[in-house]
Amino acid sequence: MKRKKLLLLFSLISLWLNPPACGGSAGGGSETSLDLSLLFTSFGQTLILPTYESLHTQTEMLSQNLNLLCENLNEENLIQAQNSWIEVHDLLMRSESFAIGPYHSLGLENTINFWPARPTDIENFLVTQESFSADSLVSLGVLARGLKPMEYLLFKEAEGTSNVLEGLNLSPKRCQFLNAMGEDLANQTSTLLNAWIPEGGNFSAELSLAGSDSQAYPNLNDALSSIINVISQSLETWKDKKILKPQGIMSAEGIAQPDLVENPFAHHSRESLQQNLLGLSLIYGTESNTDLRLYDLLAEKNLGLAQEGLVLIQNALISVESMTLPLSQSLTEDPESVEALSQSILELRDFFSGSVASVLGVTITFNDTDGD
Amino acid sequence: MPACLKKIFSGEVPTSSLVAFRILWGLILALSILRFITKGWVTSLYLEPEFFFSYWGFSWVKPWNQAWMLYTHFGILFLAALGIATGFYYRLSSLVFFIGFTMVELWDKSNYLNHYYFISLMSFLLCWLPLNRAYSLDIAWRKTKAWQTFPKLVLRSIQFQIGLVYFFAGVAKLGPDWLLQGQPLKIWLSTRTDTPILGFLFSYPQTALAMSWLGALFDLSVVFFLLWKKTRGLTYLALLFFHLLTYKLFNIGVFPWVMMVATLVFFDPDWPRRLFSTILTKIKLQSTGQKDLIPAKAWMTENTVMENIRVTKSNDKKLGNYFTLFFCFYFTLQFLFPLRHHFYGGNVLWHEQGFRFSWRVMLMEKTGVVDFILKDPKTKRQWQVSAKDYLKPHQYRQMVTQADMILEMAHYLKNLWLAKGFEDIQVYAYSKVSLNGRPNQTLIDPQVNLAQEKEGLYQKTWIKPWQEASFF
Repeated sequence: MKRKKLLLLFSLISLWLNPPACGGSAGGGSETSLDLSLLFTSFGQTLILPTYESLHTQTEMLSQNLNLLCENLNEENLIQAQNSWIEVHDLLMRSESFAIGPYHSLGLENTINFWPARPTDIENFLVTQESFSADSLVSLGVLARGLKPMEYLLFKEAEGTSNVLEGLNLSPKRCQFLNAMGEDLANQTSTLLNAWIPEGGNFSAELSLAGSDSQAYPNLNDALSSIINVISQSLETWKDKKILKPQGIMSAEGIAQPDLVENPFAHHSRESLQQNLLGLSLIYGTESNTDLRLYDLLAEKNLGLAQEGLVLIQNALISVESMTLPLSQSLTEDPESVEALSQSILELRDFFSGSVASVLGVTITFNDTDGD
Repeated sequence: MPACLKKIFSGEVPTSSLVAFRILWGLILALSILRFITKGWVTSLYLEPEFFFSYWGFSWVKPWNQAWMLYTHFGILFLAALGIATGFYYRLSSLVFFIGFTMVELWDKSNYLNHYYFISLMSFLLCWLPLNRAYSLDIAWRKTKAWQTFPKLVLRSIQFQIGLVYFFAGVAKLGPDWLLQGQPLKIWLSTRTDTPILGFLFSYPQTALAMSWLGALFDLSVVFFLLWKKTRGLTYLALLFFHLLTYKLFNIGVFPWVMMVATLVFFDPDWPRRLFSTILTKIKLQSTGQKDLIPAKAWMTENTVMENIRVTKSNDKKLGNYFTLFFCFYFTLQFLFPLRHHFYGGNVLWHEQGFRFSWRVMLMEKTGVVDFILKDPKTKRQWQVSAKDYLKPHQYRQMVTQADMILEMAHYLKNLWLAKGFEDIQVYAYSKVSLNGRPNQTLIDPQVNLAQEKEGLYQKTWIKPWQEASFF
């Protein structure tokens, strides 16, 4: 009898320590708690996947428009290609604060959006390479791939020319390079989309099944940590790299460096930050969103905290919208507006990295080894 | 010595429990070292970082700068742990392990863990305890004289060391966050609702509060219940459950296993002998087809065993006096050290002065951010520096919430810029920290030039006082 009891006890302990793969409640399992797996499903199905679908569609369109431009070099086609680039770039910026999983793990962050672009290297490729194709770009590395080198070729007039079209006309290789970039970019967004869709890597299921049948996120907390960490890291990047560095605040010289803005050639840096913040507002949600968002999770913990987040995001959006000049120009002509934007992003960073992380328990509480 | 104390500390005990402790302890240390190596932590924690956070007074202890040196260090630790387990060159092995392991702990403050400190202390204790005097390779190969019993003080000192961990871990939990708010368990459990079987309970705040109280009661009382024979068995089962639960819920590495093994010393000092005897008897009886001819319990009385091994007490007095002095001094220090935070006042969870080496286990969920602002007093220019450029993520995460590490980073940055040719550099910190789910607060006074502040044991006046704030 005693042995049976002991056996039962050890069986229960073993079962608990090594549960079968299908075991475990995926959600909160309680009326008092928001079901995290529903939240993750919502992120995947109604936000991330649709954004990546649009990103891929727009990238394919960009590739086509680049082809069209190179077949028929004229002002109209150039503007169309440039607008197409802006569409793609905006979508990518919007997705930055929810770029969990494959975007980083597959290294696409660098191959799609390595910046700053290095004009010297790009011009050097144009001199040294006989021809360009999507395949050849892979071997050239991140300096020849993605949106930022494309921005240079599409928006910056070549040396000795007065406009972009003239440069493209004079050097057919520039167009070939652009075409190759377009094709390569479409391949990459296809890879990204493929990693998320059910017919491919099905990462959206990995996210939905966090805490039960997910390899990427064995615990619910892993998925939540991943999401909050991406937001925090994005805010840190926006603050340091996109604002403070161009402001000259990250260097001892203390001089504004407009060349260091994110999109110096397209003069689109302010809009990029705006898209970043819009993306953040999409994953954060509002009181009235129909799909589950971070706001719902935080509101359940504390309504005041959730509403503070709404106010901070709104303030940041107002700051960026009230900046009337391009960011590179504002740095010297309207520094107060840049400072206001910088401050509002700092407050958001503090909010997510401090209060939100703490209340959700998602900071990696222990160090990389283990803890107590 | 009063009679009651004499009863507790004087006398002799059978060797088998302490030998089992030595073997299991040595093996778990060896496994921990292996785990450390195989997980790649030797490289990621001690080779890759360009900067290491030092303990005050130990800034001269730095990791070896070559991979082969580091791996040799850990290889020696592994061999020393096996030496402890087998009792081979036991004293030397214990000493080598103590020094080598403590060095690893001192290399980088970012990797501080209470159980590493516990392992260091226990390793130090083992250097003094003659656990190789029974069932050891020292006896078999090196002709070390075997003892048939150990002084009881040997057993008590190990029990005391373990007891301190639990007791002070319990005392540290007697605070408002833990007892009234159920924090930080409330935060942690709410994200572990996917835990099999029990997970659904974790979404209720009441569960966190109940577990907080039970945890505190457990820590405060477990040693006493383990010492009392009538409650020992059930208490050990509760201890197993407690540690397996924390192992399952939290990322606490080998700590639960270390404690589950170590607490076996609270059982009767001859439990391994009785256990083996019972098993052997059962096997013997089953193989001869006889059942229950001799009641198993006959083997389980201490008297039987004590009679069988013919106790010798020749070493009792000499060793007793020697250890009593050591015991008194060492453990008085151990008892007082965790209480030193009272000298600093305020909320120790916030300022963390006197926090380390005090068995303050799992008491807080702290997150934060810090930016360093450097000023050149000559040109009045100021600029911001990200510590992330100089630290590994695990170091950064630890630094942002710990004032002494922020200070050390500030000094490092100052020296970096002085080396770049600046005559003088001021360093200020913008820091925000959230404790146990409260809103952010400023940790470091942003007006204080940290480059001028010295590290030491005195009160850090540049830490902003804790402002009690309502929980989110």
